[in-house]
Amino acid sequence: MKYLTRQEELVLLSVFRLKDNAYLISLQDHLNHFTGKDWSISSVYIPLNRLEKNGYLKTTIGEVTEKRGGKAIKYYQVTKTGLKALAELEAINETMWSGVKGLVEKLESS
Amino acid sequence: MQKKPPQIAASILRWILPPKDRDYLLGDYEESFQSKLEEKSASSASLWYWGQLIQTAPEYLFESLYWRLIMLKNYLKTAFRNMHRAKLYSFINLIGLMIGFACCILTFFYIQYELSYDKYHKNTKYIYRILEEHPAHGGQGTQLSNSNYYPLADALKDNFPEVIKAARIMRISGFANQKGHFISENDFFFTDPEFLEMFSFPLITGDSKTALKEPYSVVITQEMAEKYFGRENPTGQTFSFKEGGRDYDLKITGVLKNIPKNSHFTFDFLASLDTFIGKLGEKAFSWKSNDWFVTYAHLKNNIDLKELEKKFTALYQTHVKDERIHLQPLTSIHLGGNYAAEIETNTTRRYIFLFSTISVFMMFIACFNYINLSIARYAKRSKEIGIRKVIGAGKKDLIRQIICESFLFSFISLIASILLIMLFLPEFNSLINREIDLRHLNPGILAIGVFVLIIIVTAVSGSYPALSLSSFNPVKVLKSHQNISLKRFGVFGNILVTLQFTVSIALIICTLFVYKQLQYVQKKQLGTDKEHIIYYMMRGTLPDQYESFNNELKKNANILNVSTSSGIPMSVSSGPPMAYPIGGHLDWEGKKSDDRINLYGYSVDCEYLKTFNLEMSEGRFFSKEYASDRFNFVLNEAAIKAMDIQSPIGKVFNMRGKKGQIVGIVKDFHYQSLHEKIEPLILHIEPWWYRFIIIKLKSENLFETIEFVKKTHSEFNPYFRFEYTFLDDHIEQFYRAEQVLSTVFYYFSSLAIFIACLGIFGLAAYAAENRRKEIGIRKVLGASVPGIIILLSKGYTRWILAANFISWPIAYYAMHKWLQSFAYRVDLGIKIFILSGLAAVCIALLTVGYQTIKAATANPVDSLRYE
Repeated sequence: MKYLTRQEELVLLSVFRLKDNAYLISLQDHLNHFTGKDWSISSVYIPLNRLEKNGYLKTTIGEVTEKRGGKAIKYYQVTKTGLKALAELEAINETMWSGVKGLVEKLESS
Repeated sequence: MQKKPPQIAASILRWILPPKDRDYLLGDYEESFQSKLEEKSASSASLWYWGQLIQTAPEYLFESLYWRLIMLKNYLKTAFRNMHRAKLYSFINLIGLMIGFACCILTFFYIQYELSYDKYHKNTKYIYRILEEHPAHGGQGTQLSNSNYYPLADALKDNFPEVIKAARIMRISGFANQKGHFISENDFFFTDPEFLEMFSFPLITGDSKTALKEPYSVVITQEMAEKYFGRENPTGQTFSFKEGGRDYDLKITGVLKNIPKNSHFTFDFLASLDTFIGKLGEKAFSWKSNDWFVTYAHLKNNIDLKELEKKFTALYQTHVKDERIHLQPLTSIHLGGNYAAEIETNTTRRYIFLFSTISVFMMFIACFNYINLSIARYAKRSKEIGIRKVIGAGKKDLIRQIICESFLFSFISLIASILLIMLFLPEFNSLINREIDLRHLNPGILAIGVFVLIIIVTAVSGSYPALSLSSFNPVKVLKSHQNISLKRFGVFGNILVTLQFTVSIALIICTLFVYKQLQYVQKKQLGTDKEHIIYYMMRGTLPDQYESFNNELKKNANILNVSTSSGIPMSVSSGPPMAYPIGGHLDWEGKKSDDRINLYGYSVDCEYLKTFNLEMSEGRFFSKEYASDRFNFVLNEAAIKAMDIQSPIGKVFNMRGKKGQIVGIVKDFHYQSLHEKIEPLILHIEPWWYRFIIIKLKSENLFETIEFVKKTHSEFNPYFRFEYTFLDDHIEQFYRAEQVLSTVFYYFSSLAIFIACLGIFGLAAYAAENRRKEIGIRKVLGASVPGIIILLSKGYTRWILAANFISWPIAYYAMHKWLQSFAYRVDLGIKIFILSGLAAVCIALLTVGYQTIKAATANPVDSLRYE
């Protein structure tokens, strides 16, 4: 598996977490909420687009609403490859982080 | 009613967004915008939208560029592979484009250099040269001259507030004292003190305001300071100069930086004009006497030039009848052509136009090669194009690929041409007699020029292949095992070949005519001898000792004749030896009208006729036997005709108060370049004007004889170096501009035919390969080798013959125009046209000959076996 960038990783994870409601704006809200940082639309779209190109995500076209100025909505779902990539990431993260737990507490107490 | 996001921002965004997801993304933006609208005011939501646009635009752009770059990498890789695979094709294209680029860039250098003349002065825009328009010598029309009378500058300054400064310059040649020896110096000028303030020639030492205020002060250039004073500090030193029997001991008041070569005149020494006036006396500088001065004026800003010219002329005509004044901007002097009494030879705009046109043609010839060859080449690559299309490349992608390839070719050849230029710049400089230095050119303009050039070349050479190849049907190509049919392209390709040869043949014709004319002017019977004649300026004590010097020289049997005069036939008008135009009052017995006649005049001695081997048509030449010849005159045939005088011998002639008889008529001989007609000339004896010693030598033992003259010279005149010129060398120099033109044409036409031939060589190679099977079958069925050679060469011959007929009228027109500048010229005979055409056809056939013979003699078994 090619390594994903941090943004790609976060976006992929968000799509997975949002299940059937993963589209750009919901992803943006989700990421803003969980990372505490301000994600612009483009900074979500670019990793999203790359993930789609690399086959980690598939898309379905949704309904047209007036709120969207008459434009259709594009939903994203994680593909099998995407799932595999997420699982691998989890495994790497776990091995890499084992033994260095509790950094936040350490930083706060010092 | 629903609020909409700002329209302009939305359309910009629309343009930037990746096309694939454009609509969804716009929807996403709009959704966010609507949410913002619910929370905040409309204006802050709009502001947010704009903010999004500005913030995110670079990210999207980068994203889309990223993918384009990936594709570009693939295009370049394919291009390089193909270049490598088809070496002949790449080589021909690269060489052709390289030569084209080199021609264009060199011409670009040349133009930039020519345009840079006299631009470095602070007041460049406001400085004008005063030209006077007077009736032409010879009677018809008027002529512009840049020499004026001395009082003009002061008159302008005193009478017109528009004139801020005015300065005169006057050039003399003489001898400067270098530690006891006198060396000839030709760039010595007298000028007004204001000169240094008007022009911005920077002084290293000295003050430009005061340097030339005092009489007997001089400023010299750095180069001259080193020549005469070595490492010593020249300021305050004495500098001795001799000129026309006058000695000047000048005080050096300043050192100038070396004068840039891109000035319409350059000088080594500038002395205060008052010095010269002091020597000659005020009388010699009135409105009625010498017009030796070039006057420059610094005018105020925003002046109506036409109005001012009228006012100047009105003033001028109170002193000098029939003459008018014109103002010539300083910056247009160098490109404005040559007027009478020009200090240095200028360029004409026509040459610049000519060189740039030819360079552009060279570039086109190279581009046409590229078009022809790449079409032929892509035909072989039709599988590649087909597969690209099947995989999903659109028309746009293919166009992009083909353009990309042509850019790669242009770029590589551009780099090669720059190396070529660096290598050949010194040769180029000596060829065109300029000092172009890469460091002095404006890098910004150069970069823009090169950039524009490469874009144009890429577009010209890439666009046709791109458009014609991107639109064919991939199924046909991939299914039928056949290459793209080139039928449709055939005519277009042939037209390109025809155009290439049209240019080449026209250039060859021009080259031959320029060469022929040059031969003609050099070989033409001038009516005077020019071989084995040396001359030099008579200086120092020589004028006083002339008789004994003459007798001493004549003791040597190898010296045929010695003469002295004011001027040498066939000499450059701007140089020191010249025939002086004689204006003023002329009168003669039986004068019919008061029309002004302009005569050129030489002051000669009795030996002049023999030295130059001139012929008399009537009467006799001056002779020592007649003491009265001191006041008599000899005229040439042209003068007699212009004066309209019957049986002239013995008639009384009055030249500005010098009254005598016309004793003889000399046959017309050329005393000016062959650009000019033979104009009326008067010969008279006026020892005051003698400036040259002319020595005619035997052709044997030339070197020894010159050594003898040198020895004798230094016995009589030990302080002056013996510096002589051969008359025929001098005459050669006169056609320098034509010689440059001839060489430039020679190179251009050789290169043009070379590139064109490379092109058809490549085409022939592809054609022979494509028709391998056809030739094989023809041979099997009984075609002969010559038959096949004719078959293969027929096409080219036809088109090159067509090129001949197009190029002839063009070349005829161009040469007809050019030859107008000569009063004596060669005929535009048909012979050279036919010769050039045949030469082009022969060269072309020889070029394709190798390929066709190879194809025709090949064993048909090889080409047909695996069928």
